[in-house]
Amino acid sequence: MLTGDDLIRKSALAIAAAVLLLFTGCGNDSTPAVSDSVKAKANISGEPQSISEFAMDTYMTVTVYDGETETALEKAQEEIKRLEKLWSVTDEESEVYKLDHAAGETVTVSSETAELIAFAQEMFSKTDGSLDISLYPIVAEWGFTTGEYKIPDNETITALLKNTDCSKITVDGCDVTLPAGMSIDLGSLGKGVTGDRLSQVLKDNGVTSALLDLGGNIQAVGSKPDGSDWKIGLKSPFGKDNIAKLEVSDKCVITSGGYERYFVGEDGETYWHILDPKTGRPARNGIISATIIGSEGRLCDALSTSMFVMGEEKAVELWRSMGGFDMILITDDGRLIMTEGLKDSLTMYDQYSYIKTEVISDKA
Amino acid sequence: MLFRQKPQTVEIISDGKVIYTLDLSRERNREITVEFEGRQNIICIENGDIYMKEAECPDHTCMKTGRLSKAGVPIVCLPNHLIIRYSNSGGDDVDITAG
Repeated sequence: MLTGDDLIRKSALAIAAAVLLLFTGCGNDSTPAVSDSVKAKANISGEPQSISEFAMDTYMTVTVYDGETETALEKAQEEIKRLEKLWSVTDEESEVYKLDHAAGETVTVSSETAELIAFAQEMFSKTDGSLDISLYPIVAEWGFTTGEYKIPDNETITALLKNTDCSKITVDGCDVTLPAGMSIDLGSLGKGVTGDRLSQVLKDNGVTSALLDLGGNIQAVGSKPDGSDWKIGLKSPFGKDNIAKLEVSDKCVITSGGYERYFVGEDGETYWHILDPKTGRPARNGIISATIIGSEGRLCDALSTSMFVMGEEKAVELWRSMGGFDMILITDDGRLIMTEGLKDSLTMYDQYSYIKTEVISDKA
Repeated sequence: MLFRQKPQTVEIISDGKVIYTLDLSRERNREITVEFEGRQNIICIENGDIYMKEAECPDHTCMKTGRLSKAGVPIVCLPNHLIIRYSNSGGDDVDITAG
C-alpha cells in the first residue's frame, strides 16, 4: 500500500509538467506572450481547423469541427489577444497592471474586468477564502511566476499575507480600488472566462462543434459533428497517462493539480503552485487533483482551485450546497471521488484499477 | 477486422509555427536546435523517441517531461514558445486531454 507521501513523491517524479501549460512564461518579460498563430490545413474535406496562441502564460488551441470556420477562428483569435491585453500582469497597458500599480488610488476599468473582480470576491466568500486573486505577490515570492523557485521564510510570508484578502477591494460599477500594497492576478479565472467568451464568439459565428484547449482547461462547444459526445481524457496525477475518460457535450472540464507546477526543495519536500490563501504555503489538504465539469468556464476554473485547497470534506459540502456542476477529486491516498452525475460518463483505465472509486450523491 | 497502425506524426511548433513534422518510426537519431529570442533548445531524436535534451529557460520543465508520451501529453517549453506533440493530440482513445 502506498502512503500519501509516497504517491506524491511518485507523482512528483513521474509527472510531466507539460500538461501544465499553466506554466509561467518569462515572468519579468514585459512583452505580452502573444505570437503569430498557426493555421491548420485548409478545410477541404471537412477536416477540423485550428488556431493556437501563447497567451495568459499558457498555450491555447481552438479547434473547430464544423461551420464557417475561417471567420469564427479569426474572431476567436482576436478575442484571445484582446483579453490578454486586458488582464496581463506584465503588460503596462493592461487594466490589471494599472490596478496593481495604482498605490491605493481608484482606477476606472472595463465592465468585464470589474465584473470578474466582483465574481472573484463572490467566490472568495463562497469558498471560505480558498481562492484569493490578491495572493499574487506570495505566488511570485515562491518563484512560481518565473520558475526561479525558492522557499520563502516565515517572516516574509507573514508580512506578505497582510496585503492579501480580496474582499478588501472596492468595486463600484467600473471603479475599482485596491488597498495600497495589494496586487492581483486574474490568472486563476482568466482562462475560464476566456473559454466562455470564445465559446460565445464561435457560436455567434455559426459554429456548433468545437474544442478549446486553454492550457489544459477544456471547453467543448456542442458535440462532435456526428452528434456523439466528446471523449475527454483526464490527466493522471500519478503518471504521464490519462487516469480516466469522460464523455461530455457542451461542457467545460477544468482541472487543478499539484503536478502542474511544482519544485522539490532542498529539504526533499515537494512544493506546488496552488497555495492556501490562509497560510501562503502550498495547500496540502489531501487532494492532488480536482476537476470541475460544468457549463460555465469561469465558475469551473474558480471551483477547481478552491476544491483543491479546501480538501475533500469541505469540497463535498460546498458541492452539495451549491449544486449545478459535477466534480472529480483524486486524493493522496489513492481514491477517486466523483459526483453521481458522472457515474455513466466516466470510464477508468485498466492500469488504474488499484484506485478506489467512490460516488457521492447530493445527500449526505 | 482492421488493425491499421495510426501514423505517429510528431510536430515541433516554435512560436506558433510548425517547423518540423516528423514520423519518428522513420527518423534517424539526431539533434535539432531551435532558437527563440536568442535562447536555444536542443531536441533529441533517439531510437524512435523524442525529448528535450537542453533548454535555456529557468524552470527546465520541458526537460523534466522526459520522452514524448503517446498518451497525449505534449512537451512544452513555455518560456521559449516551443511545443513538441503528436499531431493527433489527446491520444488514440480520446479527443483531447484535460489537466
